Amino acid sequence: MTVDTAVDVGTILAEAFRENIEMMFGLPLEGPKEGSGDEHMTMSGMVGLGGPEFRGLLQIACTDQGARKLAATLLGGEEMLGDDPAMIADGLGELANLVGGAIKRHLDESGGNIELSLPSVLEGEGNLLGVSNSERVTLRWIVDGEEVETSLVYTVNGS
Amino acid sequence: MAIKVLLVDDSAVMRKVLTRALRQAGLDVGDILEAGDGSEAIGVLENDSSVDLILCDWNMPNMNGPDFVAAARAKGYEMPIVMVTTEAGNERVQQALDAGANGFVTKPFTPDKLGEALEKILQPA
Repeated sequence: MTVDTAVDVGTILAEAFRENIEMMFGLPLEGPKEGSGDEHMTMSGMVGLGGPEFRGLLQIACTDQGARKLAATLLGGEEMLGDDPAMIADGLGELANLVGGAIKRHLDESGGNIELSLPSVLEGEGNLLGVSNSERVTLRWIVDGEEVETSLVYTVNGS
Repeated sequence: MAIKVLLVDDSAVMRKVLTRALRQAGLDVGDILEAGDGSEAIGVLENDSSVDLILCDWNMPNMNGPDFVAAARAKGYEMPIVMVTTEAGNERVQQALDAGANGFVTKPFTPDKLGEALEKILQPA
């Protein structure tokens, strides 16, 4: 496996997010810029990636309004979403699953042999992931006017 | 004649996305049944075995995609089963085919991409 720099991981994360937003959501996308972990984001979709040499946790954070827009777009419109908060969380979790899957594909191409966890969603402010002895890449995007941060906390070769 | 489809995915949102994509792809789709995991899907088939096509996720709780495919084949269900998943490596594809799947569509997908893959599988031999 040859992923050994933050630049590589940042590029993989950016390509994975862009690919899914463009193909599955069809929303206008600006960015990425370097993110700082905005504590005002109120919902996070997360998925874990684990392999012999790479372990990581992907977090996609946005506001409640941003999560609602993403879920409604996936479903084909606000009227399809209704008022079910579980569907909003499910949509954000599915986005994390899609982006995590794309990251897995990139890593597997260089022998990553990565397993993907089931997605989960956290609600509430200040859910910025932090894991000791790990690298972190955070990218900030504007998705159809809504701020979204994608973060990957990871270790390579047990580092 | 309209086909009856069973969607097996733990995400309710993705099941709705697939439903919309099937319609947008121009396939003649009639009833659409849903299951949230492989074991639930086996239950659906036991109640209604007239399903013409199954679209199945890989990573699901309780019973994952490949285990569902193997279980469905072991029970004698012969309808085409297509994996629709973020998994895409050759090893995974082979694992699904070995379990008895007929095809593989990688997420993310467009309705056109899904439709093209399904038309090939649904074409009479």
